[in-house]
Amino acid sequence: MWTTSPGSRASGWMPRAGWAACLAAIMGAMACSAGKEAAAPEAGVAPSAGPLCATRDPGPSPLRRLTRTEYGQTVHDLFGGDVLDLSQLPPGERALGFDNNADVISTSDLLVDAYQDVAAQAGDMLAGNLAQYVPCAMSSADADCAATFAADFGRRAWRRPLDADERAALAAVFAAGTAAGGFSEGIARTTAVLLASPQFLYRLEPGAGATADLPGAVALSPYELATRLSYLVWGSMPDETLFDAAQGGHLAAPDDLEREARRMLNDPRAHTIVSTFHAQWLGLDRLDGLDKDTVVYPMYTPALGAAFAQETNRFVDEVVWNREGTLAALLTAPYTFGDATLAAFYGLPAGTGSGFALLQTGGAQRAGLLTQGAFLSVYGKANQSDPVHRGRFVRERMFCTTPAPPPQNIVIRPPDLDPRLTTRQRFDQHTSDPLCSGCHARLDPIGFGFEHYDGIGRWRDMEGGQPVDGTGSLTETDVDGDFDGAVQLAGRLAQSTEVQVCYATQWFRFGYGRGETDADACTLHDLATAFVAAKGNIRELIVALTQTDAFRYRRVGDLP
Amino acid sequence: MSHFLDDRSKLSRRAVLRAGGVSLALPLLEIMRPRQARAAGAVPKRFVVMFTPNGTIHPRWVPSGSETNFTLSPILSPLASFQDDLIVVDGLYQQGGGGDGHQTGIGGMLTGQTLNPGPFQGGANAGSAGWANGVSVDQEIAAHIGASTALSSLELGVQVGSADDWGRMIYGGPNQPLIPEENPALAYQRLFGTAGASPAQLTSLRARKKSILDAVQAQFQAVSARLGTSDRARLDQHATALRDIETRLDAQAMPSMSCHDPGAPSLPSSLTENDNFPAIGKLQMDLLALALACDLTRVASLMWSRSVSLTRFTWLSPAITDAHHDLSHKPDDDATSQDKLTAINSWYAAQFAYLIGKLADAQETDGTRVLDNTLLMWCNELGKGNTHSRQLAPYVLAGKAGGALRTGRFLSYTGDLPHNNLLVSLLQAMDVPVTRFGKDEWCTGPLSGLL
Repeated sequence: MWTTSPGSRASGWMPRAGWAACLAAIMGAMACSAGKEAAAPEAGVAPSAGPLCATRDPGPSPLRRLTRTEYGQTVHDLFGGDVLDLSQLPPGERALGFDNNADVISTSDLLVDAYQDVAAQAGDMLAGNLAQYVPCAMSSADADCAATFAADFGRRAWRRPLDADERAALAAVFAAGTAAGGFSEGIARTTAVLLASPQFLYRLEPGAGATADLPGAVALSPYELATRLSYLVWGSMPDETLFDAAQGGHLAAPDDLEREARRMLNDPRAHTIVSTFHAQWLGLDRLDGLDKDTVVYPMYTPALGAAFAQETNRFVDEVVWNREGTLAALLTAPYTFGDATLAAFYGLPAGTGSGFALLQTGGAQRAGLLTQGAFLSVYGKANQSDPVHRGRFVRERMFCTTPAPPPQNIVIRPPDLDPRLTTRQRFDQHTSDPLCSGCHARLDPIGFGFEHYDGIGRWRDMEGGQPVDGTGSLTETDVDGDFDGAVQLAGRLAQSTEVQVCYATQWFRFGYGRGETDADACTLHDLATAFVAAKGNIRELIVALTQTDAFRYRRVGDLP
Repeated sequence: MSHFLDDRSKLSRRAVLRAGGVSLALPLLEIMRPRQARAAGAVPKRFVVMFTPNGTIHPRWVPSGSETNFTLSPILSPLASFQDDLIVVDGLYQQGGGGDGHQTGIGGMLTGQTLNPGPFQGGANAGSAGWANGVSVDQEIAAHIGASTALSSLELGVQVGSADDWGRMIYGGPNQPLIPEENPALAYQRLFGTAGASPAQLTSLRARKKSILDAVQAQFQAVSARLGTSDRARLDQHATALRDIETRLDAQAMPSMSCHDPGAPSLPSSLTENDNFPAIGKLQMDLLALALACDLTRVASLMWSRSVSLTRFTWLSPAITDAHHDLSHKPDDDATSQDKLTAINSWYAAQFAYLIGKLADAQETDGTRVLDNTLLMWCNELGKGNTHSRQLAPYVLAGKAGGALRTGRFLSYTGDLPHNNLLVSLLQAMDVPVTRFGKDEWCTGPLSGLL
């Protein structure tokens, strides 16, 4: 499954240094189309060595299973509410920042047992509410009613019409259940089987046969496309409109996908997906249970952490759905949300009313995601700030680069908490010691730019009795240069094409549930081009995700 | 539903009777019935792994003295009352490869294998890696001795907190990590959830569960036929688990005298709050010991946090407020930090002593201690935290494994023998007939002098 061909980037999980830079450099310098020779790069523009978009390819399609979050949203939509106890479902594996990476999912008795239990619980719940879920039972609780239920509910649960064998199998389940405990037991068991079966738990894609549109690719069936759409835009099952479009043959062409995507973006579940992406991209789900030293930070409580989470969530929602909707705005907008406690924390005048209100920040100390308490606390140690990891976040999650590994067998130690020194002074060895500087020279100068914000994101002018030096510098990017403070840094990042390309790549990973591979060069190029052309509009990026080869097809070789 | 918060730490009230659950195998009446004496030799062997992170301080860990006449170190002194039940194994090299030092360590610790390529981006910018390329020793044992118990094995954790290759040490096979249960209430439900059910209720639940499992397995077979090789392989893993669960519905336990239903655990207010680490750990150790005593499983493991653990040992005196991983990277000449790390590892030794004590107190049907038929291994992902060195990896064994081990010894090895050899000897002690384990190039057979 994991192969590394010589001379090319390792498949899928190790963004080569400069990949986003490569794409950014060649964008506009060459077209991506099958069968054409790669155009010569523009004079003066030197893309880094490696594969450029020359051959269209859907890339791999590892089998995807419903994530913990998707499972919850799906059963919510299936049953019309949060009617099940899902607490025993374990959290999913995290890779490249996201919990839906299909390459690393594991299957164990614990997990499968949990699926069985929840499915059985669903069966009992539904059987106890027949009037709501099995209306025909009110007039005739018999095998015909059960068959109707299995077909209708089954189509929604399995996200496609059931075939004759499947209907027969469920009829047998119903019969055995009825013999054991009457109609409701029959319905309960039928429901349990529907929810424990692979057609529900996994996003199965047997495909619709080879397509002439793309050599080596298989077209996806309308129902499979409906499922890809609904989980991309909503993190949940298709709705009736999507099912109808699939059934009526109106879900095949890129235009169909775009039409539906735009419709679906108007649904509240799209807000949830955007929120989920940013929470995972920014590592903010670590806010829950985040450990802070209450001697150093007595005002940090779980309630403050929860407020930070709510603030960033409201902010993202406001920017993406009500205002500019761009990545640049996420990074630089001079407002946020907060209650009176949060306003006081930030030193801002409180908004109107109680609860969370819009807060104007003025843009000097606070502007955008990277200056909010959530990000700064997650990328902050329990008892101090964390320039190395803040710098690393910018390098890895905003530029998609990976600095070189450190020498082996050196003593890797963070500095002592010396109250007489500033953080920058304490980390001095990173730059003075040649063993350390090779790697840290790429991280620390960025991270030091955040030094005005302590380990829980409070603004500080002094540290260790000395004035804070919040200057920093960017190197090896398309927006190099010195800056003073995180607000300036964010402004610089907002102007970077490499950051835009990397952000689009992050959405590739989250949207497609896998890391990018060499075969995805054209898909990535298409996404990055569309995103830049849309001036960084995030909703447009989501639409663009439905238009790529990676979304519309899978490989012939993946299927029997 | 908040996407920022994980609600798995909360457990809503549920009926005692769960519709599913492998605990169907052990009705309450079975648990509470007076034991009858059992023929000698019929008592099962058990295997337990306890993991603690971030390396140790070797000079303060290693005992002094000879093989059978030795003095425990400052770190190991909490184990003094069980010295005769211990084997301290010093001087081995813990093999591994791939990723950063911590990934390598925890990935190879129980598998004796490298990590496969994968997307988990290493810390200190060490490249990336995936899951381990082999089965872990406990799962190898479970495959041989776990066929007849309600659970093939039991994985428990204490604030493990990460679902990646820093937070997984148990592998059912290459790229098949098993998830530790971090919530004692959920662990209790899985083990004892049907303890209040009557035999008639259990029979009916069992029949229902089987019927559903059969139908679900049939669906897995049906859809697999239409899919390609790699999709099918993934579904096969799921189908295998279904088969395993179904087989175990009929498991017949051989509980010891000390088996009882402990009642649902009383959880601390938050499962993720740092200061609740000891309380959660104790609940898990109690459950682990009881799971063995009730013969619900014969293979169990306990993860304390994860590799690169950030636990702050605020409950020690004096309180330690630095994160464990940060401390573990202090230099050797930082006396204060060395003292703190000694205290931390000594506290972990006390937890191992507690777990040993639970099994020493538990009685077999023939009156002997459960401990005497158990093999416990305390291991660490690293030898030395500040360099990530895996030389001088610290291992402490406990229990006689049904007579396979002569305990009360201190074994000191030189020449960087691979820990694969130790794992082979443990397997042999558990009656698994192997002469190699893990990566072939590393293993040179059993560890001489252990058995």
